[in-house]
Amino acid sequence: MSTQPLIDVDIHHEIRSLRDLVPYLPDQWKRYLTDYGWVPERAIPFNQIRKETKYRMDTRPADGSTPGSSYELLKEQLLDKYDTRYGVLTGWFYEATVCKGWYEFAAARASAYNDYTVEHWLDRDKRLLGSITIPREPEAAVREIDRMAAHPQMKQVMLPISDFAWGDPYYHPIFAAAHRHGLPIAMHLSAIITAQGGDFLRYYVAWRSLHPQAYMTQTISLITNGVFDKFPGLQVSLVEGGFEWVPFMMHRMDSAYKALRQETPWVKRMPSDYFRDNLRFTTQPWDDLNAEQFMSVIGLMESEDMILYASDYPHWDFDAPNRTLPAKIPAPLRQKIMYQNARDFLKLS
Amino acid sequence: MKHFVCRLEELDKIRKKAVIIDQRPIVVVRSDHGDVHALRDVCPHKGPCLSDGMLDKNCQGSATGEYLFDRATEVLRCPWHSWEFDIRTGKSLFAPEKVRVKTYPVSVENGGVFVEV
Repeated sequence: MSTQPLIDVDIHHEIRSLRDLVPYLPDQWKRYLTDYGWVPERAIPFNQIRKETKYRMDTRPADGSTPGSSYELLKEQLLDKYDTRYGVLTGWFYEATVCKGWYEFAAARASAYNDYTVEHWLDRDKRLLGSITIPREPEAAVREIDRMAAHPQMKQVMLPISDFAWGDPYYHPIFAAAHRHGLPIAMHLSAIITAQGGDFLRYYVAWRSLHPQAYMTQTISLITNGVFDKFPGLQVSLVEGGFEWVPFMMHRMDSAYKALRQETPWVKRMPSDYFRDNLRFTTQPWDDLNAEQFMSVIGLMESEDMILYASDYPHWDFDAPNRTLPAKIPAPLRQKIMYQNARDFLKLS
Repeated sequence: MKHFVCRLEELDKIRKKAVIIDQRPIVVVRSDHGDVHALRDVCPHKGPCLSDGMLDKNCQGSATGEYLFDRATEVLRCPWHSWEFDIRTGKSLFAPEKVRVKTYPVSVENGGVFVEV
């Protein structure tokens, strides 16, 4: 259909149910799923008013299993249909990272999910690339990164966005481990992000609209805690958080830094420099900007390297590669967003 | 020209049917009240088939927390981004004059559903 090769950095493959993880869990944890009825905490209070709730209505496999859990259907509806050169699996198993306490079990779930992803997805299609799922506890997270980084298709570490800020020095061993392995970081919203001062707000439409707020928190936290001064080559993508707010934050942080830099003297460069060199953002969810509006955002960023194409398949707000960027943007910029920027970020040859 | 689509009894059961007439994708829908409408089977936003979506009542409300189902208006909701189109007029609910899908005249004759293209 599309003739332009592309890299899609947000594909949510799914397990059919927690039972899919049982073969990969040690005996002491297996029993919680098979015998004791353990289920993850469901933090988000909403359901959407539509058939298939959060999924595209046409993505449920014929056998009725969870959308995103069938490799064959994902291949047909996404990889083959749109000439996907590489597709980055971001999963939907962030609970193992953002849950509170009981980190030994969380670490086991994260490992099981990684092993499941390798066996059921990465081994079946070399176009698919993986994200390493980690527990939140840094020591266990580093062990998991060290264990999975050797897999040639594991190309990034996933840090889901929750109600805490990843830039805190407590988490720096995680960045150090990713950096040591040459892996970038991806951040994606989890189901428990909340609004500053507003909790979940009252409605899904409100909650979805405020997602960028949680992404702003992460970018500010990373920069002011000196993550990119410690690990200058490290790159972080903020997936599914929008990008129109990015130039706003670049300018706002620069102006604050000029006046207040003495409070964080370990931050050596202007904040906007870290945005351009170390942070990446995705097209999805595309907010229906026209070409002129989009080019003005690029102009304010002063960079064509910061935006990566993402589809978010099989979720309801999926953006098809051929129907996302406006037709009237320059071809070299389109090529960067659809392919080159992600290729550089993921360090693909 | 009128084209036969299906028997009305079939539409009574399945409620919406996707057809291709003269190379045009069209979705024929039957409302709760029994009247039949035909719309272009392509969402003007990103292009998926509206026939993969769902039929629903138009939900209205004038105070926070109030939900009233307007039984006179039914919508076809896109399978991807949930955009809603009035099945009688093809007009979107959020910008009726700007965003709409094409509609086609429908007639029911001797139990058969016909669309004029």
